[in-house]
Amino acid sequence: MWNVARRSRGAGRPGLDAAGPGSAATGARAGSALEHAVPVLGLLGAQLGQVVQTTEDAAVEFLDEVKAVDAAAGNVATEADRLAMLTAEQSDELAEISAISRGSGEVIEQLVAFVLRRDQAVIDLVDEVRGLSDHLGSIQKISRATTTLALNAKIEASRAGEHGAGFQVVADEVRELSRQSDVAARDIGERIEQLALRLAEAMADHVGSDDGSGGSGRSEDVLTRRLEAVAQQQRALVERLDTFTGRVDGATRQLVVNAGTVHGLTTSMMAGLQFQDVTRQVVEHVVGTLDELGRQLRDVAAVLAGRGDVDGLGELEAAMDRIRDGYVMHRQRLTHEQATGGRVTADTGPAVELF
Amino acid sequence: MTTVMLVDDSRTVLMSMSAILSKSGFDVVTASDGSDALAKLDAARPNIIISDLNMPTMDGLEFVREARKRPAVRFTPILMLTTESAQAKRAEAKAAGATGWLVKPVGPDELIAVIRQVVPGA
Repeated sequence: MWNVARRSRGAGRPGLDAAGPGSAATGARAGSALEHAVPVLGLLGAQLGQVVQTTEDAAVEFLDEVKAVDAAAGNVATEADRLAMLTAEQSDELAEISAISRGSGEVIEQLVAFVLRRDQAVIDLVDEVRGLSDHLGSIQKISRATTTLALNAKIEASRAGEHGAGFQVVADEVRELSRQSDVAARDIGERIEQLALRLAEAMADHVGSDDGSGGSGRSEDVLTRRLEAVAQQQRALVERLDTFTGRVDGATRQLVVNAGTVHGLTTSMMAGLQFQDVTRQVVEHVVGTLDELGRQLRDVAAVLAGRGDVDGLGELEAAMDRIRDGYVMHRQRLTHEQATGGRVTADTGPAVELF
Repeated sequence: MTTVMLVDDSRTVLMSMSAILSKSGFDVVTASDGSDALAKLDAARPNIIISDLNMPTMDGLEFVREARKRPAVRFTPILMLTTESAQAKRAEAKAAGATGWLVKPVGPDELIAVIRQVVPGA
């Protein structure tokens, strides 16, 4: 701590010197040296007092930060609970939403099946009508041909006289065939009309109210009502999901904010621990000074006891200067000047400086 | 990732600063004094060094002088983080090759800001 070399003990041949042990001069010198020890002790007290103050300030700041961390952690816990409750609540709600969605899906499947069945019925009817129309055309063609044939046969029969009686029979038979064809054609025509009626009925088929979502009535109306009901359910589901998502998002954001607060506070607390390094260096300096002071006081005692060199006592007189030289921080110098009533030095720069 | 070498004889400082820098995404290597830091320099290959001034065995100023002789860290930023605030000491550090001077206690935001200022992309 103190770099000034101390003189060896006994170099001044005690007892033979004018300022020898027991002499007034030695006593005065020893007394003077001891007087220099008093302000040193006062200074060390001031330095330790500053350490105590720094430690207390740091402890208070630390406690404030611990309280803030505790509060922030409490907020985090509250938000985490809220999030957990939301998740639990929404788990039930999601199950309900899922059930409703499944119900809507079933309704839509039923409606689709209904439409498909009706379409198939219409397609079948159309095919049947198309087949009948083809037959009808053929029969009508045959009917016209047989009528013409019967007419020709009748003409030939009249020309042939009694020899044409056979033609007359053929003509009558052909005419009868023609009549029957005509009857068949009309019959087919009537069936086509019936098919048309059935087609109209199929188009106007009624949908039952077995799912309870659209009542009963004309299929188009019922389908529309059921689809509207499904759409309304889907809109309601989307709104519920939006609300759920918003609540979860809000809780999550708050959780992130609170976690960030905890993060910032703990980081600040860790940085605050640098006070230990500051106080450690002050205490180390005080301990070193006390150690040296102890050695100097032993020298004084030795001189007074006639075993030491009175000239060596000068080190104690220069103690204050050496203490000042040993400081490593501005606050030590500040405390020194305040304790000794000296001028506060301004040899200090900014806390952060880039060269 | 940016590697920061912390050199300090205070375990408290090493632990607290390491935690702060790690939380901010830095890779941290610690050394207990200048000679310990010199021994770890080649393996650590730090992007920046933050060193205390008053340390046993080898103090911060001597460490900076020695470090500047190593080609690998000749141009690596070296910040002095110390309780010392005297201008005379700063001038010594600057002459030795230090990049900057931080007086303890330094706040976490301030520390990170200075690192990012002297290490591009950190």
